[in-house]
Amino acid sequence: MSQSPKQSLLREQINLLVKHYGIRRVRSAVAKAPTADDEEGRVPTRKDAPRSLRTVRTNGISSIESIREADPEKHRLLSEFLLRLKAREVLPESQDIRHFAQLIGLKEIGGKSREDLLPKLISFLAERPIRKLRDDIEGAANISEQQRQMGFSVLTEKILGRS
Amino acid sequence: MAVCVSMINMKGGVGKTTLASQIAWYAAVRLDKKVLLIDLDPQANASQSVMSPQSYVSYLDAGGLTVADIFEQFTPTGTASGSPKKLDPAKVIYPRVEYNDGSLLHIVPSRLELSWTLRNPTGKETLLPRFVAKIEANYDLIIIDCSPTDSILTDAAYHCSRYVLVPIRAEFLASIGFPLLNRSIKAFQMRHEDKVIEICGMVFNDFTRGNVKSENVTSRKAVLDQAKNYGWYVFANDIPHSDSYFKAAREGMPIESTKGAHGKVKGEFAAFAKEFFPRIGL
Repeated sequence: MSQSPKQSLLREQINLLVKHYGIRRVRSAVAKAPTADDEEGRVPTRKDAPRSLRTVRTNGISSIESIREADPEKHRLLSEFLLRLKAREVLPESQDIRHFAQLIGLKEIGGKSREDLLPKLISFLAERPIRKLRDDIEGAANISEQQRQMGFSVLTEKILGRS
Repeated sequence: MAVCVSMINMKGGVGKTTLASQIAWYAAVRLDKKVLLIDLDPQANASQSVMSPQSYVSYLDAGGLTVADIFEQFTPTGTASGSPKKLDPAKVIYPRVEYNDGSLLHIVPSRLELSWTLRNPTGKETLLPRFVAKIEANYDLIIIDCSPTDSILTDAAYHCSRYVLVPIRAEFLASIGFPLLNRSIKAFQMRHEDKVIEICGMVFNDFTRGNVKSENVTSRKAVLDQAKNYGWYVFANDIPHSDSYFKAAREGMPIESTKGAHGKVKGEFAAFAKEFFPRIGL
């Protein structure tokens, strides 16, 4: 018997969750989810979703997954970059992401938290030509509050001819 | 063809550079324009604030050309320099950012050595307009940030510009420098009758909000009286002081993307921008 479009979408999402988080974490999240009885008469909100589910919707994975087959090299670069972003090895603060966005030509990047900004950044990067993407990723490593604070000393060193 | 606006005031410290940078950012980010900012001040503060200090230093270290090279392109540096070579305009332009919708912000950086041009200025005032003529088709707006002098650099800016924007502070010394600017523009117009150049307005800049002390009120009135006397437009929207402009400069960012910039500050700048751009036809 063929599945309805809703069932197919659900299965696809579950597969994606299992692939990314593993079956144990998905089961644990499902176990913590409210039952149908709890939900009666109430419209679910975004906050109702288990955190793991919310993260999948907003962490930019779909942008990366969409280029897996068409552009494996870009997929690899972006996947690695996303891991580094998640670990806060690059662009650790939301202001770093905004700064980076301005440098690479992403005009509008609304949102306050890092979680809000990341998917928009990743979606934008997924559209970049691979040569520019490489440069962008390389440049991201140089962006931090510490770097911005160093501006004065960098200029002083240059003007005094010590650099 | 691009509209070219020069930021000029013979008085230093009135906020020319801050205003030039933020107008350039606003046109590119909010109005989706192609913008070129030309830094015509040997102090190179516009370059440092738009490119960020690190990028600026890296650019110079990599041998990047600056506006000084436009003025000195035919100056022999010694017998070994041989015949003069044409300057490639693209090599003097630093592409700060290019957006997907086609809007962009480019800059012609400056450097301290531009001050050498002032030591031997003969005939050099036409080199910048020739450069602008070659590249202006690529832009909607060209902003020139001038140094606070009446020199060959100012003359070069006049030659390029359709409009002059005058940032001014409501203070005694600023009001004294005001007639010097009027004389400088009048003198240029008398020397170049074919050239149309217009003051698009003067804007009160970098003052403390709500300052009603008599010194401030007196200076402001003196400036307003002079502006009326010269027939110059005064922008209704002022740009009060905010430390966020310094932070924006440090980070090489538009004020609206600067962390911690108060919504009021962003709103004040946007209000000025909405009054300014229609006056220059954008």
